[in-house]
Amino acid sequence: MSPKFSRRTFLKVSGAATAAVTVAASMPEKFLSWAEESGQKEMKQIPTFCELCFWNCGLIAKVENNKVVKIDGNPKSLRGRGRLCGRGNAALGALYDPDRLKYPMINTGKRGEPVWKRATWDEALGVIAQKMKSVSEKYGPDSMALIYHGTGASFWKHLLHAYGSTLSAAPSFAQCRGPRDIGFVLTFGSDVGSPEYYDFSKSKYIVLFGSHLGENAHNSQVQDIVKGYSSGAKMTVVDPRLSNIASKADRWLPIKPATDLALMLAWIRLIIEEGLYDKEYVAKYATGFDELRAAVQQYTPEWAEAETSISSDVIVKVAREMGEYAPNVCVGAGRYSTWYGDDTQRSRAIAILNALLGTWGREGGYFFPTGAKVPEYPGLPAYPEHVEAAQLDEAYPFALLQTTTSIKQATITGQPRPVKAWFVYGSNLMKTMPDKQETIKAIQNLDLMVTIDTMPMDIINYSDVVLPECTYMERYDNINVGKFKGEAEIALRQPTVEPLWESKPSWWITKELGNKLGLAAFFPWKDGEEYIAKRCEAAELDFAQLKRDGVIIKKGGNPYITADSQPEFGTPSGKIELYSQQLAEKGFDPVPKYTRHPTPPAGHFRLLFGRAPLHTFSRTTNNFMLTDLQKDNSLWINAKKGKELGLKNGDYVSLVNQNGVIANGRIKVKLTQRLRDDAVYMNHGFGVHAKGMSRANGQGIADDDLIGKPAIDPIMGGTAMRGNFVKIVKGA
Amino acid sequence: MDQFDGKDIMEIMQEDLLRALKKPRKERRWAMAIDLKKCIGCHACTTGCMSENLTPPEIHYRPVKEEEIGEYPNTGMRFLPRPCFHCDSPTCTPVCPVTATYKRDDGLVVIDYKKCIGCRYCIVACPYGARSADSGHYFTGDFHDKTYEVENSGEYGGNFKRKSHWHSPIGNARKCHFCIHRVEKGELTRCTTTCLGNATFFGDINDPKALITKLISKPNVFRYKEELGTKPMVYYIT
Amino acid sequence: MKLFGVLIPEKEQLIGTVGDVIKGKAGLSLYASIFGLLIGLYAIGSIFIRGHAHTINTSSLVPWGLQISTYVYFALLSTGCTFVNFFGHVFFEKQYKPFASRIVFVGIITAVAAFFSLTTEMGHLERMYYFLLSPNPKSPMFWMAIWYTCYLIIITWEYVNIQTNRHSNRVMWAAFFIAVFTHSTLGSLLGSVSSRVYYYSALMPIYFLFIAFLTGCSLTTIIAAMTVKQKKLDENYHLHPFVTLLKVGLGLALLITFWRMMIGLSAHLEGSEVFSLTLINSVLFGIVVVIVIPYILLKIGQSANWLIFVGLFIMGTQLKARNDLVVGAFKIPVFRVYDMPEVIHYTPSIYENLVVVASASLVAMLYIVFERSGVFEARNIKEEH
Ligand SMILES: Nc1nc2c(c(=O)[nH]1)N[C@H]1C(S)=C(S)[C@@H](COP(=O)(O)OP(=O)(O)OC[C@H]3O[C@@H](n4cnc5c(=O)[nH]c(N)nc54)[C@H](O)[C@@H]3O)O[C@H]1N2
Ligand SMILES: Nc1nc2c(c(=O)[nH]1)N[C@H]1C(S)=C(S)[C@@H](COP(=O)(O)OP(=O)(O)OC[C@H]3O[C@@H](n4cnc5c(=O)[nH]c(N)nc54)[C@H](O)[C@@H]3O)O[C@H]1N2
Ligand code: SF4
Ligand code: SF4
Ligand code: SF4
Ligand code: SF4
Ligand code: SF4
Ligand SMILES: [Mo]
Repeated sequence: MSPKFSRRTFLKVSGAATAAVTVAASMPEKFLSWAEESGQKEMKQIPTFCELCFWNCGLIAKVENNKVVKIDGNPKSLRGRGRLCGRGNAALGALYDPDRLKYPMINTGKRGEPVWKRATWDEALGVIAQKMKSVSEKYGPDSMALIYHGTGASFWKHLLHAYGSTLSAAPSFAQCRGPRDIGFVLTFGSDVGSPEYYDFSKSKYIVLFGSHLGENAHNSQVQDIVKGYSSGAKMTVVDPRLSNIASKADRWLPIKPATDLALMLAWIRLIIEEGLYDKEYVAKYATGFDELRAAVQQYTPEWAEAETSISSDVIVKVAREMGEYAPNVCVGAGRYSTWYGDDTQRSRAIAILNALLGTWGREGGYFFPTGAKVPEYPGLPAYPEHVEAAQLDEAYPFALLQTTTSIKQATITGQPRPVKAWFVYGSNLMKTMPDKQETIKAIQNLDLMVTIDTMPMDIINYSDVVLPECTYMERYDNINVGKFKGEAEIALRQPTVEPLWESKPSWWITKELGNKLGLAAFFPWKDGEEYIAKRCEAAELDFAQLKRDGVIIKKGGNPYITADSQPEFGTPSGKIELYSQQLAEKGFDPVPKYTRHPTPPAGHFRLLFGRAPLHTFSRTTNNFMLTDLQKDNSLWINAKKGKELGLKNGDYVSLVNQNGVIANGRIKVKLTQRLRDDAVYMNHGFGVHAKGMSRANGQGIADDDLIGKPAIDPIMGGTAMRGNFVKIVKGA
Repeated sequence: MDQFDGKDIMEIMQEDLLRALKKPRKERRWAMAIDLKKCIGCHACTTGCMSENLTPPEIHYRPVKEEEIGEYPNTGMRFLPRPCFHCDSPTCTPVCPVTATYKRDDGLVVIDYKKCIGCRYCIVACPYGARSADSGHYFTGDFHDKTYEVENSGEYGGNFKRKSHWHSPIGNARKCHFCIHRVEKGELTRCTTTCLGNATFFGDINDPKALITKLISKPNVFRYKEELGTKPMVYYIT
Repeated sequence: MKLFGVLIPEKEQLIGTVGDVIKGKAGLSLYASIFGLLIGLYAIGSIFIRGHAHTINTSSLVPWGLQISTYVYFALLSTGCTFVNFFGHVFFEKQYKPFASRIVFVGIITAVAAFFSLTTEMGHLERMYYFLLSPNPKSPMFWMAIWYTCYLIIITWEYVNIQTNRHSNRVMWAAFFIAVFTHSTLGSLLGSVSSRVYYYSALMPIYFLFIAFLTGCSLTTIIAAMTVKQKKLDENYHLHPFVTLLKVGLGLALLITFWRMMIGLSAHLEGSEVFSLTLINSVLFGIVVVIVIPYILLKIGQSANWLIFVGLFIMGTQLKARNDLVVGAFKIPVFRVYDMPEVIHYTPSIYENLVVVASASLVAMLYIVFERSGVFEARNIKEEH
């Protein structure tokens, strides 16, 4: 399929560009007696992009009377291709939520037991500026940290950087993608991107570990994998639970949780020993093959069967199938990967499998993306000279991005240097971080805690000042560049309606705060529009076109290895490192090694969690369109096991973890055939406890309540979130 | 399969649609096909439809049913999206005392929002649960007049604003109408264009050349509760 | 035709009754029913002014609730009155005579009360004229509306005939048959819904007739017993027919309820699990409490007071049985998705309950006012030409 062609078609299909619809002549006779008075005016159509998750699909708002009345997908967007997922279609539920944060608020009570005072912007920003000055004087600007998730964060990074702090971290690293990215960087010298460079639509064979696509509703990726398997790709999904995508697979391998590495190592061994690997490719691009081969000898299929509970027959068959379809195979790297504490090594094993099968840079495997450069706003003053007192992530040598883990530790202990102020942008830390007690402890140690959010989430209760940002439908944000196969996308977020109440966009808030801090020179733009217009100018992009179309597409190079498009590997050796010298040097296993994880004690289940197709973490838990379909989570239990325990569908239970921590609230039981009997499963994000969230408050149970002190991946500082065991307490 | 005979299916359907619109209405027969293999249970169609038709709380024209098949570890899943089936032999229309709901000459089962007395008999009579009663709830409570909830959804090409319970469609029966307000402007239904699995097909089955006609003429097609004799115009491909 | 004294009370009498009410001498039951009607009207007003969303607990899953079952209930009461009037005249002429005008009168007002309740469940009552402009002869509901109108006319005619001492057998027979048609149509309205196994049954029209007969018997027994007491008539002689009819009614109800349940239980259609789901409820409330206990009660005594009690007992339990019947069909959703419970529960709102109060109070109030105003006293009134 030529993607250009289909996008143009789509334009007509979704009615995004009415001009393209040429059926006026054939407009049908009116079909209902009263339809004559038809009130269907052509509404104003404003493209922007979605922020209900970080795929950032293009959408088109249809506006009338300064209200967004409808939305549609933007056919030109590479992330959505005219389609929006179940959450993205609920934009109006986010925009028009009456529970939104409406004005700045100052906490006159304690953190955790807030007493709110409504403040003007001037007052709230004044308080913050004053506190920042005093913290900076006492501890240096580097004692101020930004913890963020979301597109608007770039303005905050800019502000703090201008003020002298470079300390910022997103939970989407140490609580999410970190291990995967590092595992791949260590092996291939680059990560798999976001959106990932999976060439699913062309695959002949797909293997997934977890990666519950369909429930994980990352738009174009879901489209691609459906396209892949419905065009004949065979699929094997390894998951203790029959995920949506597992139900589409040729093989579902209900693995014993926490044993994936055993299965991968067995596959590596089989692929090597049976000569199924891409010999030419490995010889040409990889190093450390012999060491790898030697290191995996112990991992026989029989051994793996004992560890994983997957029959050795199936293990052998899948290995042979992978070999048969190589190199048009994609062994998915996953995305959320902070599972059990040895996650970088597990991701390494996935990377190695791909390397052996020669999928990197091959059709149906991993493509080489096309990027685009958009220069910074021209003429900004240089950031202040920055000498960092001490590296926060020293303990984790391969934490290539700052971890939230270390920021939290430094905040509590003051070591290796104090952290005294947090700016939390678009991250509901109370639910996002493991070990709530520690998070609270850290926050109590702060001199200043500021939250920039749209909703009165759990996190605001621990803040000194709460700043209401307007939603993504009401603001300009920074330009968003996405890398895709043969194309790059430059996407614009622009306001579709005026901000409601007194909420403001980040470009405005940071500019005002910057002025108060004497940083006006860093914020020369008149407004968000001018900021972007200037950046477009610098990048020689047509801003008018961007505003009209929402995205500008740049064509790029070859996505696959060919004679004249040879891959480059950013590893020290310049090759794919099957054996990692880097790891060895820092005292880690140069080839992944299997160590057994603890199993649930009697009467306990392992606590697994994942995504609901209709929700994004806690951010959508109050979205009325989505709560109308799913308002809480349920506790999945193997039906047979559940019956043994005397549980019925719809019973309410509570959960207590291995440390005796009882989750706040109750959860309803869902007996299912889709899950092993040694684990329970729930959707993450629910169990919000924040009074202002009228729909979400107290609905379901939070997995995050039950995640105790996590094991930490020693390589990169990721927190192991699935190492928890829970007991079911009946009659909640 | 995103392509049929080497051509993008969205484009084929678009062309089929425009071709159908050139015919007199009574020669068209709108139908939908949903490929259950491709349906990945993402529920995008459900919320896409909600936002297209500005439906109020608890009214979903196109929910997706999730059914478990078999026993662990031999478990399967079926995701079954359910619009209104626009039955050729509907059970909902004969019961309407005032013919507010009826089958049009193109087979579309419609509700005349200006005639419906809200007796809800049709809701009771539909064997698929495809109809809902709009009793006048709003998502946004007192704030509703400031939001999209009182704006015109354009359903049936009309002008209906849910301003109070005297204003249709409040008080009426409601259901999926195959997005006829889009279709007759030359746009495919919203559930078709937002479907992440590319699993929803739409078109005129009176047109032998239409993609949908080709799809439903295969043996791997069934209709839901066909034994009821309702002859749904929504075909499931397995 | 003379209005005062025939269709409604004589002017003076009516003024007297109203005066009594104002003076506080009208008796507890009249005050109670006026009060009931007032709060009921308040509820109905609220339903129309505030809209269903804020007042009524029905939904897409339970599209018909207490108001429809109240409608059914009162409609059946009305039919029952017509039946009793018919059988009374035909089989027990002398014993029955003193009650005739009262019973037919109640037949009219219960039919009106039924309609009262029905209107509150309509989404757009103001569009009812489409029944005429855009009729659908395929719809049982359309036919029900037609028959219902005919029914009201004919029983009013019958009433006028009784009141004017010109009872016509032809009108009486016609009333009987139109009642049969009207209320079997009501039965068919549910019985023809093939998508709801709980309703779907050819037995339904007959079921409605039999149940109508039983509930009608219980209401008319109460009226008769009160009249007997008030007028100091011979209890044994005058109430005997009612006991007989009641027993027949109970027998018929048992028969039809039993078979409906049995056939339902053996059905293997989607949704037929409702029958097993509601089995205990059906046996306990649908048979034991509603039929067997009243039968035993009838065996225990037959004094006027006791019969009033038995009558009230049956009427009360039948109201529940009607609600169970109407709402039972929605227990199992035809298409269960998202957070829909496996079994749907519906509890009527306070407003819905007050609609029942309104309907019952309307009947009680009109009856008491008419009774006090002496409308039902046998008179020789000739039509003035
Ligand atoms: N609808 C929706 N989509 C989303 C998001 C959302 O919030 N909502 N969030 C997005 C984000 S940020 C991320 S990071 C991704 C996360 O989505 P993924 O990267 O797909 O997350 P995973 O943890 O790989 O997948 C969860 C699955 O892992 C299985 N699992 C649990 N333990 C094990 C195990 O030990 N071994 C194996 N093989 N499987 C296991 C669970 O049963 C579950 O089916 O989703 C993204 N997409
Ligand atoms: N226990 C547990 N912990 C997890 C996970 C898990 O599955 N289980 N998943 C992990 C993963 S994969 C990730 S990526 C992270 C995600 O972690 P977060 O991104 O922190 O997740 P959310 O809970 O969605 O919090 C989002 C916050 O942003 C706010 N918000 C939404 N839109 C805007 C906006 O436009 N502007 C501003 N300023 N704020 C906005 C929301 O109101 C909410 O408070 O969580 C990680 N932590
Ligand atoms: S995947 Fe869905 S929620 Fe995420 S950006 Fe795209 S449409 Fe929005
Ligand atoms: S699915 Fe139901 S509402 Fe739709 S046409 Fe068929 S019977 Fe009527
Ligand atoms: S609710 Fe409306 S469309 Fe349905 S049967 Fe009654 S009048 Fe007809
Ligand atoms: S055709 Fe339109 S109305 Fe029907 S389900 Fe699809 S989106 Fe909804
Ligand atoms: S949008 Fe498409 S793939 Fe998703 S649930 Fe609906 S039909 Fe299935
Ligand atoms: Mo994530």
